[in-house]
Amino acid sequence: MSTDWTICGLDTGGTFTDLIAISQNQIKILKVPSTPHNPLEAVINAVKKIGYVKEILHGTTVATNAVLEGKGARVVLITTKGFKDVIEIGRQNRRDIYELYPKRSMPLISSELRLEINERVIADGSIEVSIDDEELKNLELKLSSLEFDSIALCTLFSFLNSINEENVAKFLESKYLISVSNRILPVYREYERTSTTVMDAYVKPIITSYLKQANTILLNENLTNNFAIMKSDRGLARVSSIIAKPVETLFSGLAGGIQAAQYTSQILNVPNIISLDIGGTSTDVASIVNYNCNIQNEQKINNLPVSIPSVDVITIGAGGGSLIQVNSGFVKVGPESAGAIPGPVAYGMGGTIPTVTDADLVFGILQTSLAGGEMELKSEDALNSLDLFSKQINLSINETVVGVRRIFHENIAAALRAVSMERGLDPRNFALLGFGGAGPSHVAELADLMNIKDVIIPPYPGIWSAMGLMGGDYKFSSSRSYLTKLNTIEISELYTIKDELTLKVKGMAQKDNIKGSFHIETYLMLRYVGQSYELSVLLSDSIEQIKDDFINSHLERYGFADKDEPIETVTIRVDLILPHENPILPELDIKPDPKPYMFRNVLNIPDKVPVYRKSDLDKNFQINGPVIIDQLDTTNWVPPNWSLQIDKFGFILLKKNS
Amino acid sequence: MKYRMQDNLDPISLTVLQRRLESVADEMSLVLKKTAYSPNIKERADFSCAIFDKSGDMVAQAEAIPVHLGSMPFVAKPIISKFQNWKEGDAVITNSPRSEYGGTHLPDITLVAPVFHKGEFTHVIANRAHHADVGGMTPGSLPANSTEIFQEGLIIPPVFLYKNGVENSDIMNIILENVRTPEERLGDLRAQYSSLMLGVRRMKKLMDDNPNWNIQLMQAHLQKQAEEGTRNKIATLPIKKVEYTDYLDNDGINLDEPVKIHVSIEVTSEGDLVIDFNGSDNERKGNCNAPLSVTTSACYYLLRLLTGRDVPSNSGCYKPVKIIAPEASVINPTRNSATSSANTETSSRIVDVLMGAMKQIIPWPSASQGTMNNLLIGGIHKGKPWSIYETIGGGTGAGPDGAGTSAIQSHMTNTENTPIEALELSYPLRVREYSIRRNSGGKGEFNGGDGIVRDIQLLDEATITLQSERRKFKPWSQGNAEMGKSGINKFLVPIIDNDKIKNINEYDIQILSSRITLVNAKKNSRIRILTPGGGGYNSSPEV
Repeated sequence: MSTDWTICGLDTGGTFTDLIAISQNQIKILKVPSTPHNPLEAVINAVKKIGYVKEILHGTTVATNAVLEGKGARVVLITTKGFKDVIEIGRQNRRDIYELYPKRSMPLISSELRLEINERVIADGSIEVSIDDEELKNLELKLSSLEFDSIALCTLFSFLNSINEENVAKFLESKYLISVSNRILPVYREYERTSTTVMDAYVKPIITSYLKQANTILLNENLTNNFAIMKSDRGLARVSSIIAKPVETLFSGLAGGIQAAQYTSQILNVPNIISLDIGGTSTDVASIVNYNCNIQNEQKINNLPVSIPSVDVITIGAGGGSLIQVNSGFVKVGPESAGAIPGPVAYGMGGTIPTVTDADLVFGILQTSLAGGEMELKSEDALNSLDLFSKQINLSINETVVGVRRIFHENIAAALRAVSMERGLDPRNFALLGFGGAGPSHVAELADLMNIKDVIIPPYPGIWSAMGLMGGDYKFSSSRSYLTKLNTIEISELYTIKDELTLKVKGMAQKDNIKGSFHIETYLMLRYVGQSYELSVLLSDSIEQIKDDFINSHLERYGFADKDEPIETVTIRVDLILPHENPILPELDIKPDPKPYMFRNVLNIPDKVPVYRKSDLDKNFQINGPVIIDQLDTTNWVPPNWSLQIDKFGFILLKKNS
Repeated sequence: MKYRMQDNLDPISLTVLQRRLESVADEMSLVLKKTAYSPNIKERADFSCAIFDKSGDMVAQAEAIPVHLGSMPFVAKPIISKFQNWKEGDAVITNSPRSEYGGTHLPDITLVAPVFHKGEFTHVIANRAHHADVGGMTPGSLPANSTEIFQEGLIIPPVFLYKNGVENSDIMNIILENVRTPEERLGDLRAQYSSLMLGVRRMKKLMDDNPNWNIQLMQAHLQKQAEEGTRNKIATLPIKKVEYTDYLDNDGINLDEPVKIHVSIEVTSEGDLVIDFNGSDNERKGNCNAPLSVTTSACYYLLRLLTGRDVPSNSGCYKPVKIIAPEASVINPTRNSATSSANTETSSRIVDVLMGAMKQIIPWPSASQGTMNNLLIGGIHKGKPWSIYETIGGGTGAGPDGAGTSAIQSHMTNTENTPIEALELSYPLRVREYSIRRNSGGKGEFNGGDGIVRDIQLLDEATITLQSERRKFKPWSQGNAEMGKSGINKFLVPIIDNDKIKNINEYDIQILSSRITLVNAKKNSRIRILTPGGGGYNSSPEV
């Protein structure tokens, strides 16, 4: 009998493609091996295993991997005469100041594919040199001699006046796949805008073909009739609007995890959460403030800027597979990783350098049999490798194991501080949400380090990012550059622009065939005159209110704000949001009183630590640490001084004992 | 030696402390960049942040501008001994390059604040930022033909700019009355102070969070560890003494007289590196005289190239280096000599001679562009004074490990460019070209990187100052590979006929010398700078 699945989250990861599906009364979790040569295979395989789902929400890494692996399109850049090398010069700085041979990330476009056109818009928005037909003909001639897949078009000051850029765009768009800078990122700073536009053109062909194929197969094989993708800012959209601006999917893979944290905050009614997703090779951290995650515009990929709205997340090279090494008297944990092959020493697949997983194993918290008995960990080998390492640094094996875990925690804490303290947030007012394969084994100790008193571990830590996809809202955004001093603006002018942008976003929703009740949010990007970086505040009823909101936001973020300095608007953005109802998690069944199924020796803990199976626990189960809860894909470690409670959905809630 | 964990002197605890100190310095940088007003700080990131122990030895530094790296310690020590009565919330300001105060050149303004924890003085926090103008004879305060420091701007000896969290308006007013762009200076100085106060808060928290740490002792160990790391690296070099000589084109005053910089480097059997500048020219009338702090920075930079990332950046790294700098010379001048271009130009050439010596010790790349191509433009537009400062990247040298890189900052600087759109939105300027200067890198088995072409038109009358180098002596190569092409400074003046510009595309082209100030350059004229390429590399011996 087939189940009536209402919604499913589908998340492509490096090793596994995760699926989570929900019906009225059931939840289904699947992990199928990812198929990097053709990610679609795993996606379709996973869905076929459960059959028809009313709505499929997908997080994809197709664009990300195309950039990281250099497998995107062959792009031609068209830009203002005199400036074709801006894309290569970048900001002219080098990555590492102490390199004998300084290098930069190579731009995605080689010099023979950069074309210039004679045109110029100047700083007041007027046109100094306009485009004539002759120029367009020359351009076409040059293009006809080149081999390429797509075009990126970015001219100077097109964010102030798009006429020249649009004239070229309209001349070319019927013949070529083209990405146009004033449509993608109508804001100043030519390098960042060019880079973002080029990135869009670079991933356009591959994303277009991937999503069109996926859509066709899913519809034709009657697997769904609602297929949507999560964008970098965690808004959902359908294929037709995604392929118009595919650069927005560059951080799709990260957005699901952050959305999952936001979903957690809403379902548990915990407004402030720091999200901590520790995987095998990397850790993603982000903060959720007042049930919402911050969106920012300064992301980089491969050191190349992509200035489109993205979840504000920091990724660092720290995970279960992080290698433990010593270098010039310092202990290094990561960023180098043992990866899937050879993996930790304990996997017995040839790894000889100890990893965090090996340290966790010797520490004593991990189960020695993985995936329900499919794999036995070799504790002896892990111990030997760490013993050898401890001799190198002249510490006892116990001090070493405790110490390297501490350094692992320090590395992650630096990122946790970056998403909290560096953004003016006090981590003590947050709960720490630990997920990913290794998150639940470290989250309580990290909370200790950050003086955080509440920890949350979701019911399905290993696939929680896929869960997040289901809680996303459909979202369409449009923005306009509006560089004006705030005290010279009439509030009605702002509302006129808001109305124009609202029309645009409504058109986008229509194109995607998304219906339902929506709401509009309008943001102003503001800064003090003279500054270069903006803060965003909601459009309100009066200029005075907008000013107050900005001053408060500046105070919160940077610790000071001047009441009298002039303020200017930089950009206005309108978001159309169609809220998506949060999926409802099934509640846990009532179970007999659980007993520990075994005991483990954990370092520095005098008594043996009881170990429970997560599947034996029902709601309201409470216990004081130290205790270990095993589940199929992770180990939950509750150190001494922490107490544990299970809620009705199976969330593990830890509290620091006072 | 075996340390127990309880002492917190084991590799684990020290790694934790090191990580914490670095993140405080990084966070200070972030706040400064995000809140500063002038493009030179917020866009080009021409600043550095550092933490010192209570005796003024550096314990951590955010990586930013190499020329600031070695010179910052020179400023901490004198201030600590001079301001023994300072309190929490105070900040001392200085920009003096005189040897007793450790500055680099006048535009680099340093703010220094003490950290007190539980009433005890524990650390010093400092940041140094390049301000776009500090007064003096030309906009941007890097006059091409200054002959004494008094012409280069306001000299600020160490004085309190903040007392107990309150701005000292007397000092602030003196500064603001003497600079061309007071609003920008005020905003930047306040941003520097808030970055310092953040550093103070974070350092106090660090000590609060770890009451068991004897942080002074741990810092001393970090410094010792850095010294050992550096010594281990030096020990891999052959014991040897080598020499190298290179020249600056001129000192800006006597245009036909090159300025000689000579160095000998000796790797001793004790594992020291002795760097001796005897043989360099006596101090000059022009402004190429490098304060000892600048010379030292260049030497420290070389050392950091050698040790790489594994050794943390603190004062311990520099213990194995002995620098011999004859007094009243171009690399250690007397107190009133002009110094404005030394921070960028002489420091670049000092690196070049150090590199030239190093290549005789171990395989090493050829010379990079060897100049920062300082361009300063300013004037009064619509009644308001304005001033802009940029440095322009070029080619880096090729070496046995590969080709150079084009159009990038090298050696003693790593500042970003000002985005063209930001430049044109803020100033009466229009950029006509910004591109890679093709084929300017020296050809060889491995090619040197290419330079940059930057062409800027004035939309109003303005004063232009250029402080550049390698317009005459080219970046050297190795083997029989080509040297990098020398830089060219062009000045394009519209051809005027009966008071009207004849043709917008017709100009009278003048070639400018390396260092020049053009007072009241005409509206619509263009300054076109072609920066040098890097030297090429051939493995075959020199012919």
